[in-house]
Amino acid sequence: MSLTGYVIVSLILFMTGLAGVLIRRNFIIILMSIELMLNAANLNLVAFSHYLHDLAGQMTALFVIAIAAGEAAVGLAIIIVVFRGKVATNVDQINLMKW
Amino acid sequence: MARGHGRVEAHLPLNLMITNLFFYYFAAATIVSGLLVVSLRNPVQCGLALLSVLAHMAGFFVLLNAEFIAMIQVIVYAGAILILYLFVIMLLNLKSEERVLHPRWPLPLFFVLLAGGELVALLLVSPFAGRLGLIDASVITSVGHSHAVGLKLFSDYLMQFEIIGVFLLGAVIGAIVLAKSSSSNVGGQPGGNLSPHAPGVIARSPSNVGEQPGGSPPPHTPSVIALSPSNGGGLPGGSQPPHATGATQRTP
Repeated sequence: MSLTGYVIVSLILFMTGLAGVLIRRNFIIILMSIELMLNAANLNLVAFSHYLHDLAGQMTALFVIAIAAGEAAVGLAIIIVVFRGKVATNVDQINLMKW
Repeated sequence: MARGHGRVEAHLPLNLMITNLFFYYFAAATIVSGLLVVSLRNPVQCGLALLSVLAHMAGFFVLLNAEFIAMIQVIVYAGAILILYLFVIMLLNLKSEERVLHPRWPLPLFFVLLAGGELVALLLVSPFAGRLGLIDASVITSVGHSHAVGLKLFSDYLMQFEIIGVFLLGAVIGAIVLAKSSSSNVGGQPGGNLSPHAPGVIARSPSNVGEQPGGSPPPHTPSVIALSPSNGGGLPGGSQPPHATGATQRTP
């Protein structure tokens, strides 16, 4: 399979995740869509790393996975704190810091 | 391509065909599961669709001669991160809502489709030329992918590796502080600590107590119980009128 196929799949996944971030209202689903976008970026990095014969892309993919783990931990902790205060995971109701 | 004209000519079409077959399967499964993550109503089902995306993405990584990344993907993503998501979903006892989409959802979707179409058009005319490195698939398969990744990671990327370690430590500390601060705060409040942040607590707690029979999970209850005596003692007493006036002052 050529590189273009991998990049197109990665592009479709990234756009799906972006649409999910923009149109969904549940905070947890938005975080899941961000994970989807990070995975699409990982696929892109590993595909280019394979076709360019260089391991730098795979190193970056490892770091992206680590950062996704940290992001998930902190994001879910924020969700728990918000949910304790007022029982909502809807991003339309979490607007305390909105200008 | 030039290698295929040699003596491996008989093996290559079958090999290539199986690889293409797996590629199309992984592509179809990943894209369909990704669409399900975005479009399903129940958050638990969204999490399971995300699990399907992650597992098939690991299949892509195996096709790309990146076995170590595939293992890390399965262990860290599907084994740790996704379980964390499912824990939080079940801890918060989320119900599927009737309105899951943003009220003005067609506008972002239009722009996303526009940007996606533009990127596909750019992709199809792009030459994808680049300077080739030294570590191709034959080197990786001869030495082992974990070995190659380990050599690269602990020689050229050691600094970044340690920065990632410090980052993860900070993320863990931040998550613990965020998740614990509220309960320790509530534990200290019945003593005498209530008055400094009384407005925030009083303004926040009626909605909390009002929603309490609906969907409060069991780990949630000690903090609510610790919170509700001060709240229940405060509400019929003298602290309700300041809150009411504050609320009426804020609404215009």
